[in-house]
Amino acid sequence: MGQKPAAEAAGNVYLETLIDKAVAADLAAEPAWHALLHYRPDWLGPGYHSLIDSPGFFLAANGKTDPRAELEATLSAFFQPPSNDEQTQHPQCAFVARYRWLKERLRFDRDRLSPMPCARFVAWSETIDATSATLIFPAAYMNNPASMFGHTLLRFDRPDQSESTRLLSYAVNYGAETGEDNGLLFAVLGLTGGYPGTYSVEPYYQLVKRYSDIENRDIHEYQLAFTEGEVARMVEHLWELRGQWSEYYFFDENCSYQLLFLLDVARPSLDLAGDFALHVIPVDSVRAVLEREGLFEKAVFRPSGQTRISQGLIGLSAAGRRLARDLAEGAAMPEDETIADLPPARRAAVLELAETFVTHQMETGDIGRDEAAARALKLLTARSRIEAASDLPPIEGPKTRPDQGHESARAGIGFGLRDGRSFSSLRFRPAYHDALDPSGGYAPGAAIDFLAFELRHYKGGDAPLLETFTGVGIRSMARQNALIRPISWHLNAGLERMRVKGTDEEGALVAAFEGGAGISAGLGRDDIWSATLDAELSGGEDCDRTCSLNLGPALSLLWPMSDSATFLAHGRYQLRFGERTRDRYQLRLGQSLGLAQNLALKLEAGLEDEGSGAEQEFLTSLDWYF
Amino acid sequence: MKSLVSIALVMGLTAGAAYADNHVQGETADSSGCGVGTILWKGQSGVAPQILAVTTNGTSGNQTFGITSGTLGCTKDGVVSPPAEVRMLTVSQLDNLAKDVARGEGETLASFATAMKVEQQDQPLLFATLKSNFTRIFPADSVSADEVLVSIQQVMAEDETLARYIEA
Repeated sequence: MGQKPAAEAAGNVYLETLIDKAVAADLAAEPAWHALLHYRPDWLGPGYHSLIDSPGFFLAANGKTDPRAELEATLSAFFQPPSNDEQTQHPQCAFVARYRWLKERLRFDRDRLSPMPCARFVAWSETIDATSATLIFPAAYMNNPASMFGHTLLRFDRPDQSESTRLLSYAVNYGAETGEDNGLLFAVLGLTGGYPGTYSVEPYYQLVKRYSDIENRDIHEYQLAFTEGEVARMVEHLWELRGQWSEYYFFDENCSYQLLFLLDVARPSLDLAGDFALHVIPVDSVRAVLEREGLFEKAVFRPSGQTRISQGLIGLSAAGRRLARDLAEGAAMPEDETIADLPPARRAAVLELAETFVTHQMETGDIGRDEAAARALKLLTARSRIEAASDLPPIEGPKTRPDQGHESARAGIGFGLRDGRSFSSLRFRPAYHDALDPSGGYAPGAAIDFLAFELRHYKGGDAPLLETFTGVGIRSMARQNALIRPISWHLNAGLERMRVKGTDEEGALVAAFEGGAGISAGLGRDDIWSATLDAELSGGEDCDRTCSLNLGPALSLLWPMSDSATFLAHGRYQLRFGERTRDRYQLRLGQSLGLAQNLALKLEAGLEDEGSGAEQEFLTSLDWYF
Repeated sequence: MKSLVSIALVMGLTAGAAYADNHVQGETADSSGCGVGTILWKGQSGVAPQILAVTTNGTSGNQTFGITSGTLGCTKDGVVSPPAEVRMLTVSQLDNLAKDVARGEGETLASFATAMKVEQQDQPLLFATLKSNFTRIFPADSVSADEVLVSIQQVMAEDETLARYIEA
């Protein structure tokens, strides 16, 4: 295709008529046209640019930055004669959503602009057979920081579908084609737009397998109240996006942001792409979509394999859990008396759980495929001989859905006492969730902080001081149970104030890089007890007292008493290896109390000795999430 | 040489392999059928010929993997041609299907029944029938998705009510 020079179309009077009408109506400035071409206003100046980076998406040479030139070139291309080559689509078909919109707005005269048959598009859209749309949110999964922000997909649902046949739907995914790059290169290219991002469509069962079975992420499905016609607009626009790409930015033009254009095309008045706050975190875009008037219909929860196992275990007695484990590990056989003696419904439950665990272990690579297949088949064969259904209760979703949790950014003011000196505190964090934040809607035991800082002003002091700065902090405290044994770990890189002997009472500001690993377990439903071995490298002002390697154990209890109230206790002791350093310890207690979805009161108390003697600290703060 | 893909392989590997061309980009219009076998049964309608078409190829050497994993022309412009849906689902979800057949319920089984065009009122019968024939359908852990489909068909054909979904 490419640009059709205006001169070539000079003879076409009807084209000129259409262009005049489009100019008079200022169609190129309409939100619908901007949504179709993914135009966003320039940072500086009055112009526009499209977020699509592949040249094939534009019909005008300057289409990426000129909405009006693109509209005129598009109209011109619609007049092209049909190609003899079956492989090449006519512009009316390749850009079927633009064609439909312009046809409706300008009332194309069929006699003067012939409609082309679009057999490939028609066959494709009939296969997708979409009449409604569902926003899909695979939540974070444990022990993987890259997933902690979640992901979003859009599913196209078919007419006459029930919740049990949604697997047959198609879903669209926008993702970066990252290839096989290693961690650092991945991060750098991901942040700088070095990967092409593309839209892909595949059966929902493939995506469920990937996210739910293999990656063990719970999936939240949000059915949206788009009309059949609006859904058809999305499908048409998706067809236009085939083979097109954009530079992918993890923190900006990412998976969840680019999907919003499909919703905007369906209903331009939504202007979701114009909501700048949504650029970063998938769950924020989920919230924004659901907050739009009348768009949210119904939520459905789809538990991951890991959730099915953990919840199943809760329903079993200690003896039942042992049997399930023995069966899964091959230490017991379905024919054994201990199994055969169980009531049928319980036997079914134990066999199903054991089999789910065997496949879970295979997905995580803990056992080989041959071994897993043989064991799974034995368990399933035994299961098929039992008439009764499992007596375990159905798996429930969390009381608070991810969209109902606190928002991602946080600001707080507080007042405290440290060793008798009062101070006021100001805290800010653009993202995302820490252990003391209200836990509802977030993965239990998982925390991730970005660019968080606290300023303190001590009474009688000169200026506010930086108390802590966290560049990135990640904590994953995943409970082990009878079947699943994840490692708990944490990493933190930032600045902190160290009160060592010889420094002034404000302490020395030091850079610290810290990490640790261990295990977590629970006694009740939600409490998480963790024991880790931590190591830290620190150094800064007053180096002979602050530069050191610190090693030691840490113990903590995280107890989310409810979705809005959490108790945290943390203690650690560290041996310090440095020039003039002394060993240190720290004890901290915290209690949070959610006052509303986005407001929380926190009480914290600490006792620590970093070399200048034991010091106490109390802090009360009020945190607002936005 | 045993040319059938083992259940273990199908369980895990095909998830990624099945949709080699699932991206909505680049591919040209492809009007070929879904595996060489399809051609043998061209012109016949219904699910049975579609499934048997695969089986015809089920043991024809190195093509088996391609067919079993559904990569031979099952997709066009990123979507699966409707007649191939049953097989694509079975290949990709064989482990989940086995779980559901053993239990006699579940969404993979319900989706399978829907893709087979089994009407709602006959689905409980289908589920119970498949469950009681579990060992016939999944006789060994080396069973292939195609073999599973053929066994399911045979089981259905033996039932008065379910037979009509096969002969269609």
